[in-house]
Amino acid sequence: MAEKAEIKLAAENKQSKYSGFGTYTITDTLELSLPKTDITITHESDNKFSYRRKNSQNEITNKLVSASSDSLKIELAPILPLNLPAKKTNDLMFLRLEKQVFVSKKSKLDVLVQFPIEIGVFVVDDSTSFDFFDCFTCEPMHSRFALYGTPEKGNLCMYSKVSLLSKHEPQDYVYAIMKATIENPLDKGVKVGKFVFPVTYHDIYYKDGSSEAHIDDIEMKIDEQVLGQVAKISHITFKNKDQNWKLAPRSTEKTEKLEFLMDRGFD
Amino acid sequence: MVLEFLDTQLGDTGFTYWSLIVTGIIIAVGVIIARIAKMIFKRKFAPKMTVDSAKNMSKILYWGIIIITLLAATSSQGVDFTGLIVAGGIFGVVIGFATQSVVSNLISGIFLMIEKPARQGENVEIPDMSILGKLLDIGTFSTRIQQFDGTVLRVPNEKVFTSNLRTFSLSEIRRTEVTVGIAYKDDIDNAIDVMKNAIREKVTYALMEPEPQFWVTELGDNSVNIKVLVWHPRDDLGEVYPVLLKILKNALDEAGIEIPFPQRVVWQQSSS
Repeated sequence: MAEKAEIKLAAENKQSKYSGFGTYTITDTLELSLPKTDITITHESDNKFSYRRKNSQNEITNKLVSASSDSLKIELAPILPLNLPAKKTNDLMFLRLEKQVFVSKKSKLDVLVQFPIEIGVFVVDDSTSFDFFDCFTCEPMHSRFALYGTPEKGNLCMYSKVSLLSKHEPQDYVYAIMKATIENPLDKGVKVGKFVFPVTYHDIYYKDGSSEAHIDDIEMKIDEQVLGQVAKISHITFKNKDQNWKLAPRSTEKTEKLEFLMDRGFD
Repeated sequence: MVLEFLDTQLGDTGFTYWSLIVTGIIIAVGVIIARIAKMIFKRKFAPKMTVDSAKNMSKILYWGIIIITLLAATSSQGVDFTGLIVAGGIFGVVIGFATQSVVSNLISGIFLMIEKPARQGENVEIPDMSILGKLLDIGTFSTRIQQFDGTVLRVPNEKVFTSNLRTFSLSEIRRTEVTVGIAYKDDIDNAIDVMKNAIREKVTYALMEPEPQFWVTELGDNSVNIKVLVWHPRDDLGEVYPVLLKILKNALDEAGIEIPFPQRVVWQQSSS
């Protein structure tokens, strides 16, 4: 008997056909449906479960999972977009804004930005042990690379073209939301068209049973140096005012807190 | 009594027991110093160097100290090398001719270790010899390169040193170029848009920034030739080059843009 996992998207207040983030316990069969992706987990025998994932190109991934008992507990959660198509970068993320932001002189601006996510499947042994098992993306166009800097001396980054958001609204498994604070203490206005920063210190949060995700915020401080304008990007921990936000398990090691100096342009 | 014994001459050699003991002490101290120097080098400096450089430098340091020690030990006893030098000179010329390539490879190897044109594990190309592969190590006499078909080539150091060496390690990205010809009747801008979209959607490893570039390079006999330049991560040539032309052709076919084959228009003159 298949359990069809469904969620209610609060923002749209209507029944979604997609399964939400969260924990699932499988005793017989579980079917999960996400945009461009279908997952089926079936109890084979004893403590063996078969895992089958199909994407929009009809490519199928089959795996066998062994559980510690005759039921399997998995967690579906948003993760940092560093795994697909392959782990290549120095964990840098390059967010290209669809619309450039003009920040007036001596001003500070808060913007909400889309942040691409991958979705991780974790095997849960107990409430604290999460084994990263599989990952996929509901938007393959986000699994792309870009270079920050020149071909001779640049940094390879994961890349995504993102929009500014006017309010917190669910981004349907493709994006988390990130707040970016841009501070311009200079005597002239600046144009900001991209954010480049290391992401492995960032945590992602999600709401159980929903498609909502939020990532730690960033602060961008513009400065004038000898070689020109630069921007220092720092990590800001997401202020979790809503108790429903839950910290997502990690697919990558959490690194030290890093700051990044965008000294090769930010327009 | 003991001093007298130590000062006793050993036949007509001019050596005494004392001089032999001194020689032995100098050699023993030299070997100890060489070993300590090698140990310090391995602990302090080798970790900062590539494996092959560290190995070779360690050997040079050890044997260098041993040779200097032997020279010091023999010269301290006033050994006259004049005859040996004359004989050695003649012998050296003969050996020199015979081992010219060996010495040349050795010297080239030392210079390669000093110059470090590429690091161990990096992809390198020697265009003059059509060699492309991963650098395994630079040894005393030869350099080993593993080609992409899995085979390992041993190239004499002299050839590596005197050839052009192409490396890809300075940048995190590299560029792949292919040329596509379209028919004269087709719109160039439209063809470029079609190819740009196809690369963005289907060539996963193509960089979004810097974007692919399209240069109209030739108004050829049969087609307008467009060079397509795609940047991608340095080590992912295999993910881009083999699929790029297929993706471009399929996209142009779908858009109804012709890729013409060589053709000749033959005019037949009427006899009437």
